[in-house]
Amino acid sequence: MKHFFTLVEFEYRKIWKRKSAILAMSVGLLVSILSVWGPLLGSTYINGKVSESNYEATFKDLQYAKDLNGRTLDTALLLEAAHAYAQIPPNTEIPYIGLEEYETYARPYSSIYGIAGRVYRASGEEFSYEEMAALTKRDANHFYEKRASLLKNTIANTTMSQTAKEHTLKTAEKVQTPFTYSNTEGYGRFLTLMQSTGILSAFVIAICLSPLFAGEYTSHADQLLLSSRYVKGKLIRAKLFTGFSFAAGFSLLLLLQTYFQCMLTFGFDGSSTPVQIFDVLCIYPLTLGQAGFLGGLCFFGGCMLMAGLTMLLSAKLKSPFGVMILMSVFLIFPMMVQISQNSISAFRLFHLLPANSMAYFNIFHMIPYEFAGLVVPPYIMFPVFSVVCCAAVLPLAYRGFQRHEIA
Amino acid sequence: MELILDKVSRQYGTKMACSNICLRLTPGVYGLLGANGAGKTTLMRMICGVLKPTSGTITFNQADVHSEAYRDRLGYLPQDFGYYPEFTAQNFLLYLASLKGLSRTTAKKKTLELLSVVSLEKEAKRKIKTFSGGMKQRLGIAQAMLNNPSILVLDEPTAGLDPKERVRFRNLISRLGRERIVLLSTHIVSDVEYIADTIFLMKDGKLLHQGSPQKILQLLEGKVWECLLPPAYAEKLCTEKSFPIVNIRQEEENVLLRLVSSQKPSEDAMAVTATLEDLYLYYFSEEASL
Repeated sequence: MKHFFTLVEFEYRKIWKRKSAILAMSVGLLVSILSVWGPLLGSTYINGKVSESNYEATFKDLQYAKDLNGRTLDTALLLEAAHAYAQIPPNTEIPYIGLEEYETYARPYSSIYGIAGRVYRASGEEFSYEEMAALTKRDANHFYEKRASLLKNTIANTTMSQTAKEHTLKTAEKVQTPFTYSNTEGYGRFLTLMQSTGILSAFVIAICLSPLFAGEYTSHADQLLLSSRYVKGKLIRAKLFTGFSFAAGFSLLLLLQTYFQCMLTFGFDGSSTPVQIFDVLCIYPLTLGQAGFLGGLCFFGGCMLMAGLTMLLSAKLKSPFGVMILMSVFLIFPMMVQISQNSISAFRLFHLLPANSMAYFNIFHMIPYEFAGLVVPPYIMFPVFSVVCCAAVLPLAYRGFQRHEIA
Repeated sequence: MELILDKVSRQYGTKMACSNICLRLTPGVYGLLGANGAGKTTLMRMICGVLKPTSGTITFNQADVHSEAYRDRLGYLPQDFGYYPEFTAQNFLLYLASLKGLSRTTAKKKTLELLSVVSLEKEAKRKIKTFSGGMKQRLGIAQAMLNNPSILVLDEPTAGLDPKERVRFRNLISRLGRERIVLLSTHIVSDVEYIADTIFLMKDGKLLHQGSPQKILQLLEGKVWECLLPPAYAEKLCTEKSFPIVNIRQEEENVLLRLVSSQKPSEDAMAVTATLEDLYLYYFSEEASL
C-alpha cells in the first residue's frame, strides 16, 4: 500500500509540475469566482442614463426579498403585491421601472411578481406589470390550483409513458402548498451557475488528466514504465486513483467555492424553503437545500464521468492533445444542440451527457427515466449513470495502458 | 540464470524487424552490433517485455518476460528514453525506484549511491531539463541499475558520453557483467570490443553471427588490407566502392587505404590484423558482399 501512495504522490507531482495544468486550474478558479460576481458588474440604463449600478440593484432587491422572508405565498401576499403594482401610473415615456412609484411601492414585491408571472402567464409571453396590477382576489385564490392545472397539462402533453405521467403527477402532488417565501438569491445563483461551473471544472479536468497516460507515450517515458515491476498493476491503479481523486478534489473545490461565494454574497437564507420559490413549476417536493445537494451530486457525477472518459482516451490515444480536442468537443457539442422532448429516448439520452447533466433545468426536469416500470427522476439518474459509466470505463482504461506496446 | 529466445520474430506489416532469433544468454556481457534498422532495438524491446513478439518465446529461468517477477530483475535503458523535465534527478530516480518496488529508505540510499556512481551527486537537486545529453544518459544508466538487476539491457548506453565517462561506464559494465546478463547495443564498436564476452551481429532483422570477439574476427582473417596508393588510384577505388573502405589517410604524396576485401585489392596491399570496426564496416556497408 505504501508503494501505491508513493506512486500516487508522484502522479500528483507530474500534474503540479505541468504549466498547462497550473494555468488551467488558476484560470478555472478565477473564472468561477468572477462568474458569481459577474452580474454585480455594470449598471441599469433607462433612456440612455444610468439608473443604478447592478451592485446597488442586487442588494436592494436582496433586502426587499429578505423583508418578505417567512411570509406565506397566499392570496394576501399576492394581492398585496398586486396592489403595490397598481400604484404604478400608466405611462408611455419611460419604462415603468424608472418610475418613482415602482421604486417606492412595487419593487419590494418584484420577486412575487416574478413567481406570479410564471403561473399566470405560463406560455412564455411576458406577464406585464399591468396584468399583475389587475390581479383579482379570485385569481389570487386560485394561484395553487392554476399552478397544479398548468403542471397537469404540461405533463399530459409530454410523450412520457402513462406510468411515468402518473408517477410525475403523483410527485407533483406531493409538493406542499402554500409555499413559505424566503430570499432564494444565494441558492438560486448557485443552482443557475451549476452548469457553467461544471463545464469549467470538466474542461480543467480534461486538460489536467489528458496527459495522464498519453503524456507517457509522447515523452517516451512509457519505455521505462513498462519495463518496471509495478507497471501492470500498481502504476495503472495509482494513475486511475490520481485521476479520479484529482477530478473529485477540483470539482469539489469549484462547487464549494461557488456555494460559499453565492451564500456569503447573497445570503444563506432559503435552505429549508421549497424549491418552488425559486422555480415555481418544479414538480419535485424538495427544499432548496436538498436541491442544492442533489444538483451538487449531479455536478460531481458529471465531472467524474469526464475524468473517466478523459483517462480512457488518454490510455487509448497516442497524444494528450488529441484527448483534449475530443473531450472539448464532447463537452461543448451538447450545449449547441437541442433535442425535442417529442423524441423522448434521444432527449433522455442527450441529457445524460456531462454538459447537460449539470444544468439545473435538466437535473430537475419533469421527464423522468424509466426502466422496466421503475421511474427514476433525473437528479437520481444522472449521478447513477455517471457511476455506472465510470465503472465501465475503468477496466477499459486499465487495459488500454496494460496492453500498450512500444512499437 | 539464463535468458532464452526461441525462434523470436517481430513483424510490422510486411517488414520483418526480427526474424527467427534464437539465443541463450547466461551471465556475461553481450554486445549487439548492427546498422540502423537492423532490428537491435526491436529485439531489446522484446527482451524487456515492452513489445510482444509476433512469434516465438522469450523466457528467463523458464518464466515469461511479461511477468512481474521478471520485470523485478530487469534493468533497461532504452534508446531516447523519456524523462520528466520538471523533476530533479533525485526525484526521477526515487519515482522509478518506487515503480521498481524499492522501499523509501532503500530507494533514498540507492539513489544517492547511483548518482555518485554516474558522477551526478552534485546535480541531485537539479531539474532534468537543465541537464546536457550526456548527463541525461548517465541518469538513464543510474535508473537501469536501481533494482540491482539480474538482466541489464542497455540500448546505445554510451551515446552522448565523453571519452572519460565512456571508460568509466565500460569499467562499470565489466564489473556488473560478472554476475548478471548484460546486453548492450552500440554504434561505438570499441565499447563492445573492450567489454563484450560475446558479440551478436544483426542485419535486416537476422542474427548473422555470434561468438567471442576473437571468434567473430576470425571471419575477417586475411580480408583486411592496407595499401599505399597514388591519389588517383585511391580515389578510383573509393568511388567505385568495390570494397568497404575502413580508413583513408594522406601519407605525403600517396594515400594509405585500409579496406576489407576477400581478394587482394592491389599488388602492394598488405594483410593486417582485423578489428571489430573492420568487421562492422564489412558487414554493414551496403556495398559489401561476402
